[in-house]
Amino acid sequence: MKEKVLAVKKWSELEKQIFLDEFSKIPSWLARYSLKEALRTESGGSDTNPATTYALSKTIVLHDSFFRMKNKRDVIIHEMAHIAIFDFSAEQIIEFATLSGWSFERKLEKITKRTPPSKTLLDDSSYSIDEDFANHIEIFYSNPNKLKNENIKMFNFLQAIIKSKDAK
Amino acid sequence: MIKIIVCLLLSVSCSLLTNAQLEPLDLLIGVHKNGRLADLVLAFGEPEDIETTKDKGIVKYVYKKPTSFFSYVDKKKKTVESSSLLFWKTNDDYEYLKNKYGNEEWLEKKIAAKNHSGNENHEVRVPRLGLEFEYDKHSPKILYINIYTNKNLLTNSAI
Repeated sequence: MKEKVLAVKKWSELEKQIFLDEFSKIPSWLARYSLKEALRTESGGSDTNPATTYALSKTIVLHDSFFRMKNKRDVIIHEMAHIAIFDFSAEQIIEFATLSGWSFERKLEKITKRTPPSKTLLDDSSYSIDEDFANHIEIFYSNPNKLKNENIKMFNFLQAIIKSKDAK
Repeated sequence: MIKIIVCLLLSVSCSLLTNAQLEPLDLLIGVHKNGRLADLVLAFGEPEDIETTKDKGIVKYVYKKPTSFFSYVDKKKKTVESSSLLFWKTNDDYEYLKNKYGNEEWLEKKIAAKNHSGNENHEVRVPRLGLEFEYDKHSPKILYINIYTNKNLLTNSAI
């Protein structure tokens, strides 16, 4: 498999200001996870992929498309949720996955990998529980009514766990 | 109870005993050594719930303590076919498992990642113990480990 190499480029001062300004607007419990590194790449990205996160090393990579987007704060919330997930317990994540509709099946004696919900919050939620979690945290802030209308139990669950993080 | 646990651990591997930590994964590996339903119930008690499945004679035993897992059970044969265990122990569960079972044959391959959070997904199989799991190199918490009694289900798979 050929590795896709992301070439890093220098930040412009304006880009730095924009990013820091948007980062200052994210909820404080998410900001507390803090980034070790924020990189700019020469990759243009896309509207569906304006940024990439390497959770273990707490690194965010911003593509050109990030700076064209209107919902920069939502993008950062989403990416920080990929890091925040490390701070939740296994029981909380399994409850999240169950509420979202993830399940398992048995086919020809094998246990299938996690099967995504038939209807997902966002299209790429079906990729993984991790991605689904980041999408839910993003929508919790950007469009709470959508989440309330589609899955009130999930909304209440997220509200409770976020409150517990906020209280720390 | 202690006798049962020691027997189960012994059936996993002598090498495990040298640094044995009594955790559900070890016990489940022990249960799947022979796949006896009686061993499952001895090790973990009666399940919290028993669900039916689409397959005739196969039911799903659901446990929530001491950790969340489920097992597919053949009620007629009184055997445990497979289990899936929630595993979230450290921030780097891959390293944890590699340290613990790395002496076993360890088959690993990179698999396509679909999302955009910098994933680099790998699939791991440990045939002798009947284990399989996936992990993301950049976020190596492992959510689920599948364990099989029939080890051929792993070794027959291309990796």
